[in-house]
Amino acid sequence: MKSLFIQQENSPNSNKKATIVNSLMVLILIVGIFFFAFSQLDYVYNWQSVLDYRTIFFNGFLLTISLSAISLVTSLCLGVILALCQRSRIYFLKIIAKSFVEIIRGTPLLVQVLIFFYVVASAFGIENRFLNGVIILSIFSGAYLSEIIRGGIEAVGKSNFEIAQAIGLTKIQTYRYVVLPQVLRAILPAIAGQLVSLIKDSSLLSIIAVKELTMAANEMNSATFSTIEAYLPLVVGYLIITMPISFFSKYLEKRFHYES
Amino acid sequence: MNLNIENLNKCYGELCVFNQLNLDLKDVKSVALIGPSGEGKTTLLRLIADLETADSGSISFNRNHKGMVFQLQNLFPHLTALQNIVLPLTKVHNVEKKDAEQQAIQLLQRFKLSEHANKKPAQLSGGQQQRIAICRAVATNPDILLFDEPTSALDPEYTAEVLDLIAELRGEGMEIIFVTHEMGFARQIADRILFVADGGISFNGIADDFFGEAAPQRVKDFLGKVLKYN
Repeated sequence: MKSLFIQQENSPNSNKKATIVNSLMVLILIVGIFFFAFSQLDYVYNWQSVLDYRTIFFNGFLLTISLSAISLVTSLCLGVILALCQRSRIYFLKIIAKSFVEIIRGTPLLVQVLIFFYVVASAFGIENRFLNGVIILSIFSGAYLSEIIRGGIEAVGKSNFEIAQAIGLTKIQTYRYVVLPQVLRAILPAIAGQLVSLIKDSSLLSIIAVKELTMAANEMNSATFSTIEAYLPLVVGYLIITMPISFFSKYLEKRFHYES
Repeated sequence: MNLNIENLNKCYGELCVFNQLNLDLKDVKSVALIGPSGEGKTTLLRLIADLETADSGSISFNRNHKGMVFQLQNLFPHLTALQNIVLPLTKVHNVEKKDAEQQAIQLLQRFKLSEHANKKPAQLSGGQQQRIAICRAVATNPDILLFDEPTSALDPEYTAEVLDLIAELRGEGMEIIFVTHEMGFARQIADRILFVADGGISFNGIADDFFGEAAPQRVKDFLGKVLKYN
């Protein structure tokens, strides 16, 4: 009985039966709390308006996906570049990368969105809102990713670089065959977490009227005043996008696993 | 090998390891670098291996392709023993992957390590790791092998298996330079002993002289301490 609730010492694999039982308990708890909370509301639901706005929701959903997918790639590239610059021996690159990371990580995304859109983007004539969104998200997420990547590279033992040099690998080969595989394994969970954040952070772009998922809910809310019906679909929408990333990262973690 | 070093200086910040170092070796096959810790044995080996550059002075060495084995953590932790041996073959020496694997397996068999081919370093003992590191160096057909205290981090039982392997390679004609604290091994294997201390090389001669009565007082003092419990 006890083994159904408490993981046995020295058994790394959790018991299947226990997982199912406890997952059910958690589910009941969550459902219970929300069922109670919603039942306390004195509210007339109007789900019809969600159906009326389904095309807008669907388009918003697609836009969130494409916005996130593109930003995901660009922010990873930016993160790698910034991490390498931070490690560079060229002072200018090192200092520019470090300042960039500190400023971006030290200020709220909301402020960055507003300043970038109304000041920087308009000065440089970037009018496309989608492009604005991609740039802002890439900058924001890239700064965080660069710190994760830099930490990962620094965690690779110094001896690796020395051996690589001794056996004749070039700098690029050293990064490709020695550093990268070890860094990837070390930072995968953190990277996945950051990418999930990026997807959720894209909701802030609704304030500059990028027509992503949250914007769709805002639009429906202001037209129909059906607040709860407008925002509940977001829970499902964002989970559909973020869950696969979590699963994929768990899968990759297993694949890259090695004793160290 | 012929090794000629002239007026070499090497400092790390304030600390100068070598001050006007000169050395001339001709036609030697195996050299042991011996000396107190922190006096430059490893630095000298690394200079010879091109892993460090001298502040001034020159080194001319007639052995281009060198295989290097460090004191510890020689293997990449994310690769198996076999992959560790194959990596430099395919990426640096342009051997086809299939041939490289074949070669690696043969070497592992020869040194009785084939059962460990698919293990990661963390699953291997220190001695096995060092022997596989030696395999990796040998696989590329170097002109000479350089060892930086290859057994200092090992338990005594593993030390013997690593030294046996080095002796075996030497027996087959491989030239070696090694930094060591294993006096017995140095005496048996080295045809030249260099005592590295006090900013230079204070003894350069054959083993019998090094361990004999004619050795300088500095060497005798050192050996007295090192061999006290032997």
